[in-house]
Amino acid sequence: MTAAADTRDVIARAQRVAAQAMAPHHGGRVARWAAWGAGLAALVAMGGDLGFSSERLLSGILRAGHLITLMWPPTPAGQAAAIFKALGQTIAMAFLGTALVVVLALPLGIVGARTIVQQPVVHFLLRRLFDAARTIPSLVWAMILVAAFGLGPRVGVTAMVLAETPYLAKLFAETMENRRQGVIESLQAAGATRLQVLRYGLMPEVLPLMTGKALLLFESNIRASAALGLVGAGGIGVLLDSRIELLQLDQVAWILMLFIILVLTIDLSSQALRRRLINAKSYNLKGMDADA
Amino acid sequence: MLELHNLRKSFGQKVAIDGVTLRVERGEMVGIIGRSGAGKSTLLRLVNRLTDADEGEIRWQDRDISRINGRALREWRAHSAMIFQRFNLVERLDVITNVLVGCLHRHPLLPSLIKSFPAEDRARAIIELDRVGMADKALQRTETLSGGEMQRVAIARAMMQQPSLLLADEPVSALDPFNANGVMNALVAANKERGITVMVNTHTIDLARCFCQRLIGIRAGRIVFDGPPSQLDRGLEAELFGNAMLRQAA
Amino acid sequence: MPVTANTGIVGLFEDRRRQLLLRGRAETLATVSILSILLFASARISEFLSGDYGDAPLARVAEFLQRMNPHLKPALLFAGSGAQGSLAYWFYAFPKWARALFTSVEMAIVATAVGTVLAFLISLLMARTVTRSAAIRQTTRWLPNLVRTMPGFIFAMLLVQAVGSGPMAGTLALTCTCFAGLARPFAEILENADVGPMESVRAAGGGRCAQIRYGLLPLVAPNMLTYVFAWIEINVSASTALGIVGAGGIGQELAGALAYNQFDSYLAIMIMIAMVVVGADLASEQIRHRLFGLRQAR
Repeated sequence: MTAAADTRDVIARAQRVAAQAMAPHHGGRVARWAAWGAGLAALVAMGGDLGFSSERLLSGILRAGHLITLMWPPTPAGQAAAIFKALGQTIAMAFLGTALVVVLALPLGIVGARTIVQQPVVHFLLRRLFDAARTIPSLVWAMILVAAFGLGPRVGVTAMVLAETPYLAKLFAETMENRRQGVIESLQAAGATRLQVLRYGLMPEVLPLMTGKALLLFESNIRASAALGLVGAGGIGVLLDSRIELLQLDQVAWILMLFIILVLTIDLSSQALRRRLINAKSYNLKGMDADA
Repeated sequence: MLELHNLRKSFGQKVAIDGVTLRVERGEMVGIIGRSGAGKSTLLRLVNRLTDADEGEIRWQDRDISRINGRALREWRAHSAMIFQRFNLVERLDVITNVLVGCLHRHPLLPSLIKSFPAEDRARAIIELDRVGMADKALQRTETLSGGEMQRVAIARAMMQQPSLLLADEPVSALDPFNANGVMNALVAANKERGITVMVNTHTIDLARCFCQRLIGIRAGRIVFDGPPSQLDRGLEAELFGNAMLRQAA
Repeated sequence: MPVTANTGIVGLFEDRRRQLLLRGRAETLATVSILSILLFASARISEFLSGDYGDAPLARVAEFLQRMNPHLKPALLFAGSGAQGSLAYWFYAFPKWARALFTSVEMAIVATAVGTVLAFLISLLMARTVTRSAAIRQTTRWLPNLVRTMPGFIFAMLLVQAVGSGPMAGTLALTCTCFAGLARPFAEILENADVGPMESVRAAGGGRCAQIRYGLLPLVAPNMLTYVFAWIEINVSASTALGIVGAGGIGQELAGALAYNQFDSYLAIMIMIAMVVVGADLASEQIRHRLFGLRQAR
């Protein structure tokens, strides 16, 4: 038999054995390519709608280059004191804001966890409420609060609390829901009450995780509170805004450098703290020989 | 003395326990054998009420425990200590606290919430740990322990509960042979030295043969064998385990 | 139950335990003190406790809520936009706002798409499983980290200066933050991926490209997509705010409403934003359902 006839034979046999696998998949592949193509086309269309064009991009790049040259050399222009004060205010806002959010999100998270409140309807409504509440970014809250209550970091902190409590509450609730069924059962099997099961089975796992999330929130809050200054809610935002408007980009660069150093320091320490929370510490009763 | 009358339990479509009637005398060491999914786990969990039967009755010392609740249920659960295949200890807590969990049922709420246990209980916990050879690791975080060590801590915890009945759900399936032997020996010690009735699940027949005086074979939720290991012959083994390998390395 | 007590062991244990307890208590005390001091200091600096709340602060809050209240009249709910008390009156500029919201969503989508691609590319360079040269890995690592430390609106403001105000600047800014935010998780996913499949492709004779395409991508795609979906939601939320610095989208409408002291319009826009973001949430959950099956989708 010729080689070609052999091949035909093999294919024919394969088709008998697994007809579906051998069926041509052209339909599927065409559909996939079409989907990717459509997605790309949609993306380009959206880009155009948003104002993207090659001329704008080109002129933008040139202008960006010019702006970068304005940033050198970075200088505080004699306002170092004011800048430090504003930075301090930013951090203070972030810290206080995080603390308040944690305090408020804790009870909400507990209530929102399926492990604690098992009523399906209540659980569902609560979680939808969290989802709806966390859609409004803190800046949006800050704007209207400033318009209503005036300028100042107090308003900024309030805006952060309003925007982030539902977010952290949801994170807390989810952490509390990821419990290990086996451990819970073994505690029940030992005769523990519901509260004891939570205290011994849930809390030890959950507390370090939640603290870690709170630390992460603090990190991101520093950036958030910097932004809030824009609308007058205190911190470094105001300074940055005015400097950028006036194209005093060398000052902007100086402020940004300081800010970056600050954030990096806090990020690193928070990382170290988080690692320490998770790591096992073994307290060995050294020097104890089994003499029994 | 434990009596199970006509227990039946289904999970949706699947019938896990299909009319089991069993009687276990005080001080027996019973090995329950069968394939995975035959219903061994469910049987044990019905005894300490982690799962509730659809039909049937469970009696301990002539007391009906199939429908008790609340405080009485917790006392029963403490009384019928259970150890698990995956150990199920609280890994972030230290070893001694895990053992002290065994006496939670005897303590009022508030002190137990702040992990405050009386010195006497702590002492007893240490002694139990020492009996399984784990006393020097008492203040270590449980997650630093190996599997065999964790299971020994689990046994110490079970002993802390001062149980009359010990339910061991595949206690050595996740352990290497050396550690498995150690754990089984600890169970035998509990049985012989303290008179605790022991019911052990395992899918390794040789293990059961070696350590238990009475074997109960379960297949598809029914008891198909009940007697001493000497009566278990090849044919019955095949029936219990179907086409699968008859022996697994102990 | 007769138990032979070994008081030696118990004694040793109690001693060690006391040691640890004291150390633990000292640590807790130190932590609590430091936190309290920091808390107090930050409350002072942010003027939270300064006590000067003006006159009748609660009344001001009530007044604030009143101003946001659209004063809907049930009878007129569905009347035309001329009638005070109708929904139409409350949402009087609905078409304009809807258009602006649509722009914001577009911004988020484009930014996420481009940001994902860029982040993926750089993550390949950052991951130990893909790039063998430690030098390349170290140098590429600092870029996303640097970008991540800066708040997004800085980019927005600078880009507005560079390309003019409007959604283009906002999209570019979002792209930067999205890229920086995704690069690190992507790199971690790539590094934690099982190298087994890649090695088996290599054993079958596949080159580097084939190894990545067939041995790595199918493994990491679901995990990566989880992050991408999370970022879509973040970007939609962030894009609504960027308009405040002139970078396009609904943010500009928000600023406009405040300029005219139209608190009820502000509330209307906030509700629209909430609905859109929740919608995006639900849509992405549905898509995740389809792609990964119920088990993976949250």
